Amino acid sequence: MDLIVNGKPHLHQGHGLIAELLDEISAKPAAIAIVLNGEVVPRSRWAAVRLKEHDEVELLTMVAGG
Amino acid sequence: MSDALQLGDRTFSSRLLLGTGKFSGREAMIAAIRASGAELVTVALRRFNHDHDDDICAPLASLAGITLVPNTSGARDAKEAIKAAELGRELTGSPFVKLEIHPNPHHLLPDPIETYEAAQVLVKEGFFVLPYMPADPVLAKRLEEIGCAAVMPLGAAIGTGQGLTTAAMLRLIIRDARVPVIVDAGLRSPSEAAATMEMGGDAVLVNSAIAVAENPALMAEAFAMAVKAGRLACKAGLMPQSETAVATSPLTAFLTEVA
Amino acid sequence: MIGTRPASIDPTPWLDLAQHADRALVRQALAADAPGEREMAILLSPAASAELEAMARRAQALTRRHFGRTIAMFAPLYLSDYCSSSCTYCGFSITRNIPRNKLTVEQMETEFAALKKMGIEEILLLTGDRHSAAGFEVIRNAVERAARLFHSVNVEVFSMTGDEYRGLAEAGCTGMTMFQETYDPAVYAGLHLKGPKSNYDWRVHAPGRALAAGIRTAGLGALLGLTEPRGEMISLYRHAVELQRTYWRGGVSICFPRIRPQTGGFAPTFEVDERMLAQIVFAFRICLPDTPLALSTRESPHFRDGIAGIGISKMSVASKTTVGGYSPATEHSAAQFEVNDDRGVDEFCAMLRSKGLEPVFKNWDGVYREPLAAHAG
Repeated sequence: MDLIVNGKPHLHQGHGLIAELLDEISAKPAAIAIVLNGEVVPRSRWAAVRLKEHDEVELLTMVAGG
Repeated sequence: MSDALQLGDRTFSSRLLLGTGKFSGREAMIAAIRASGAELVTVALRRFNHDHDDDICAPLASLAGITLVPNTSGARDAKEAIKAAELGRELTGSPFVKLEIHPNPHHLLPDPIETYEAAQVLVKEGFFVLPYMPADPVLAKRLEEIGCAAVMPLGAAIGTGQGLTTAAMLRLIIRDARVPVIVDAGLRSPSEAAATMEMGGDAVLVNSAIAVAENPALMAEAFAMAVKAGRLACKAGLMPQSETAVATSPLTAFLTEVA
Repeated sequence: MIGTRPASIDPTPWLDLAQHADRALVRQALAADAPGEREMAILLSPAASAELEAMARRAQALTRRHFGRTIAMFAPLYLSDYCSSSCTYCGFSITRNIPRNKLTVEQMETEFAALKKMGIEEILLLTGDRHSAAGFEVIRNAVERAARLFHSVNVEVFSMTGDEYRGLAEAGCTGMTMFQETYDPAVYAGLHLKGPKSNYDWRVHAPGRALAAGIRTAGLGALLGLTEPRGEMISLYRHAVELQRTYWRGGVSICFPRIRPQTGGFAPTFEVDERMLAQIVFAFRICLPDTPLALSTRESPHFRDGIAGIGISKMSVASKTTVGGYSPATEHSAAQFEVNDDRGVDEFCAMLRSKGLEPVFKNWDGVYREPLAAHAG
């Protein structure tokens, strides 16, 4: 399915599971937070989420900052 | 007798907080944090980039006794800041958040209205909110009133190193505060950090002055010493500056004169 | 039953300094950037008395910085001298056999008119302790009527509930005054033997209740002479600081009532002379630079003239401490305390002007001001 990930088009090959998406992007799950279509998805709910066509996903991580 | 800094339900022995931005690299940052003795360290939220591993949580986890303080920088309004805070908590598990909302990218000065609105929501969501704010005494009381764990008035605009341009306002804030006052932004030299503590500040947050110094770890150590020195000086009671008396007719003559 | 002095206003940590500070400490306190409790204790000490002139200079400079060269003017109006409590030092005590009076509504309006004619714009309404003849409703009604005429209406009455203070605020009351009389619970118990006023706790928390309910200003004070003054003034100072920090939208003012002779002959246990009173005023000005400090007509004209503008920023004028008394219509009644400065408004203002001070009768226009929102603090 076609997704928008971090503002760019991404072709997702899996079934719409977050774990699959993170694997595609080579992101370590422990270091990622997710915003799906503008809403924060807590880690505890990741397993229950099914991504849909044209979903906008933001993958965020903590970095250095003041 | 303990002189610990109380923030939320936690206590800290160091009154120097460190920002992790602008360092030349990870090693420099880690060395500076170690040298500073800081126990509270700010981190920021960014989009994950699979080209380079920016994640800071893993390296910081190797340092003992560090509590992460996610900041909301990048947020332009309360709604974005609230979301950023929630994401920060998701990623770090920390109850602290440095609430910073600076819509203008040139001077990076904080928006007082968005900050207040975001703080209201975040306090209710159980965060220990550390709001980065203009050095305004009334705003400081309002943020305190709604339950912020501290207030963080700026010394000068971020990264400018202009020092305590807001000193007069800071004194008023410090005088009336019932939560810790952490002066954040604008400090350039350890002596300014000491001055902040001498005037009664509870802590300082330093980033650029250390990260951009020639030798960040050494500068961090200097700041740590300065914060301790300033705090001790405050408790020791500074000697008065000399006052030149102006000769006038005595104001208290009425007490000795016969009516 | 003896009440409990709140820990936050306990003077004990400072009593030693207040008695034994030396001159070096006094000079240090005088030059401190941000005088606090420690400086307050030092400036109240016997050693500080030797630096009174320096204290006066500092007090004057700070008064000018925060209040300019102005003195805020007000007058008291006693609505009633009925009382349900017995304070051993007071002319209105229930134990005293005096004829009791209360202003009728018509008399009240006549008194208001007389005060307005004198130029008064800030009025302080007083009663004795809660009594069926002069309870909440009477006071609320008086406030409402006064608020139509005076820009600032304040009350110095009995300790009320938060709801009652809210009611007063909504009726137009901008301030309340409540002297704790003494912050020492044991001494308090000995002086207030009967009636609602015997409850120390109910009284000491009243100013906080009022500010929380939306009253803008709480006037504090302790009756000098009832107990050792240094500890007393430290408690008063701490009380003021605590209220100012908590109810930061509102304000606190401080008055310095001193026991003077009166019918019944209550002799103060710890006499505070004029020099000590001046030292107290200066210490408060130095340690609370922007808090209004008021002096009543209990004090002599000579003392009032001398201290106006030196610490003191607010003064009552031409006061009557009998019920009513400003118009010929009210009957003669006993005074609560003896007025020592009975100069009329014009004469008093001329004195102030001769000293380079401007009497200010009206500072704000009351018409656009709402009560503050009730606030948990």
